[in-house]
Amino acid sequence: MNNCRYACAVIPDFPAAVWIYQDPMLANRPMAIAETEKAASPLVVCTAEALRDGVTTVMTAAQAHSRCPDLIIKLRDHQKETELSGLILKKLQTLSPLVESDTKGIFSLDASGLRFIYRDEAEFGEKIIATINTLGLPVRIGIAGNKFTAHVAAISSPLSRYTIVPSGSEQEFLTNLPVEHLPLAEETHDKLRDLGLKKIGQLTVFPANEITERFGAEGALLSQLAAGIDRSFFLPDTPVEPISQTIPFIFSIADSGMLIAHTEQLLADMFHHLQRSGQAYTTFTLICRLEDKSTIPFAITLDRPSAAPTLFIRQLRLTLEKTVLPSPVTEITVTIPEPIPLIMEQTELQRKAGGSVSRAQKFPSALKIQSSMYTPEIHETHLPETAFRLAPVRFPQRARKYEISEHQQPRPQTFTGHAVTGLRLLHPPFASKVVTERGRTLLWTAVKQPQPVARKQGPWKLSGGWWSGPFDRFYYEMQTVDRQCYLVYFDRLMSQWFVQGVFD
Amino acid sequence: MADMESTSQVTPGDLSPDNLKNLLARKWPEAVYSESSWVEAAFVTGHPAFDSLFPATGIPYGQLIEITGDIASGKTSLLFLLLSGITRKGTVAYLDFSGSFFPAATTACGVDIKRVIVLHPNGQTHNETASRPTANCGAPSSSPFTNALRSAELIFRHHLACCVVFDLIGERGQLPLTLLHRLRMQTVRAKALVIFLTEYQSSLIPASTTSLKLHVERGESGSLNVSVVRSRISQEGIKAEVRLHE
Repeated sequence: MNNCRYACAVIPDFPAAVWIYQDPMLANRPMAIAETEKAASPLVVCTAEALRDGVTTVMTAAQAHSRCPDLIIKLRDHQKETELSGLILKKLQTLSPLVESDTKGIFSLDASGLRFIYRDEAEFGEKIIATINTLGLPVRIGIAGNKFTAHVAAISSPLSRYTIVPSGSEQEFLTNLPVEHLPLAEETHDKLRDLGLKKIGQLTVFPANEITERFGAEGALLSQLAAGIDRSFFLPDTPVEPISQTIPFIFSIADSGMLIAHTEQLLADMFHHLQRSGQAYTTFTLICRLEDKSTIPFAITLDRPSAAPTLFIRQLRLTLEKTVLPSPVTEITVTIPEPIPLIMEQTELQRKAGGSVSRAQKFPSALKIQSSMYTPEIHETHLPETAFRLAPVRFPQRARKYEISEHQQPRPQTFTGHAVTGLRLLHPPFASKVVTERGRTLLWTAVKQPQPVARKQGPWKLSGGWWSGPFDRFYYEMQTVDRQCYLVYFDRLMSQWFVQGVFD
Repeated sequence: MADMESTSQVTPGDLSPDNLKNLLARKWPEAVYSESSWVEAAFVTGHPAFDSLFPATGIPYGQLIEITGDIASGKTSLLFLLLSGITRKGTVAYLDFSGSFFPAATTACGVDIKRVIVLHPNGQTHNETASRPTANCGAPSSSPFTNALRSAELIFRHHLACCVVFDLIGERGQLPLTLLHRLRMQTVRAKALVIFLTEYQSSLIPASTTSLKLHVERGESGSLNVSVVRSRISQEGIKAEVRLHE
């Protein structure tokens, strides 16, 4: 079950709110925002007061003035919108560590795991409202299990109020809301109107494949959103600061291989920190400080952002091959000047590779290594070679430190006989020969030389498999005079001796 | 000493014994093992004769050790004894190059098989899982040794196991020095343990990379004679008799 919770803060009519923030006297007055100064320019935003006076966004500035002479028309200021958005973002980051902003007055906050800070989600919503109200701005809040539902909950809320949608009831909440809330193209909305579909809940009665067939690429999104499922990424804004780490060497390094190894280790550490915030980088700088106090910088750049140090290390290796260092290196500094977010195609590829995106972003190499790990489990105990098979390891959802509590169970009893201690099975068993001459038994071992057998135990009869592959064997443990002990069997069906294991 | 003075973080005024010891402990923990605090924690096997080989009464964290011996000398038995102690606290990754790992024998030695993860760097298995991919960490056309060392590094980095065993019986060649060095750094950071199981007089592991080399011989009445051939964490030349059925 998905335990993520998101809060969405929507500042209504954000381009107008920017002007009201700068000049509070404009509050409660009819106001509209135009994109350009031309009289024929259509309005992009109208405040509630302007709407009440009959002004709509389909009007031009001239038409709006003729309808409402007191209307104040302002030009849209994208730069100030970005500045105010940044200011609100910083304020909200004091409430939740992860905040996403689209610079259009919509902010998404990670509301998961905040129970130690806030009593409940209602208190969290009130805190957000109080924080944004200190800037003199109105806000609506929605809290739900995904970004889309939280956004719809926010725009459905009254001003300076919040709506909380409990986890698991997203579909129920959306059922009676109009389809205009769905973020679709205008053509798709027209098609929905033509079909008489007015409420989101009406879409859920159709199979997803039918909706996809009718609406094309948007159909899949449509059916998911109608069911209260939103798989869009949460990409919080994090401060962009250069990251740098230094390693001083006690003993100077002259070997480029060692230099690369240390650099890769440093990069791997920094890369781990970056992945937590879904970031990657296109360039890094390696500064080598030499014994003669001089420094040599290397700048490695890739075509596209990457979160894997491997590509950078390949480039660095090629660069170092062409470079002759005048003296050994005493210190290296690795700097990543501009971490940037991972591009969407990369995160999508990781998601397709298996596992959730957050886990793939956090542990891409862990996913690779886990896919090749197996643990033994009992399979079919008739024959030693088929007694166990390897099954995929089931790791816990979250990577855990291996330092866990001591076993509570008593330690398993150690086998008291000699039979199975340190036994290594040979695959396949190699054909051997056992000869008895003058009362002395000789065994042909792995070195293909006969060894006198000092002690012998057995035989143990093992037969079966008549339903698939029959086998009939006499097993022995044979110890040679130089204390080497083998697991040997005589195959009665083939009349052949085999050495199947070594007690090592 | 000249090398130390040339580093930027250590100035002549800082060359006090405490500063030097701290710097050494950070870069080369084994060098100051006897007095540093982290060696107090160690992998205890539960076999007093073996644990007494080390000052910390157990193998200190962050070591690369090699167990070697002739064929059927008991080195695998000794390994399983170590693993029986280690799996009481954590998970072990077993890199089985030859495909000769026999889980029943491991269980009989007291190893918790549920805490053993098996990887086949060579892609050799003996049952229907034979077509399973090898542990290649996404690196194309890498050698099995390279794959295995990178896998071990990733295992420690993501805390998937506290001990990695390289079963190198029957293998030839030499492990890449650079990757071994990286693995050593990662092992120290993760406070984990790496065990190489090799045949006697094989040149797979360069001498400088492991901090302990144990030689195993089969003794009388089923016991094992374990001798320390080379060590940075213990005294060289000392021996212990480990009874298998205590």
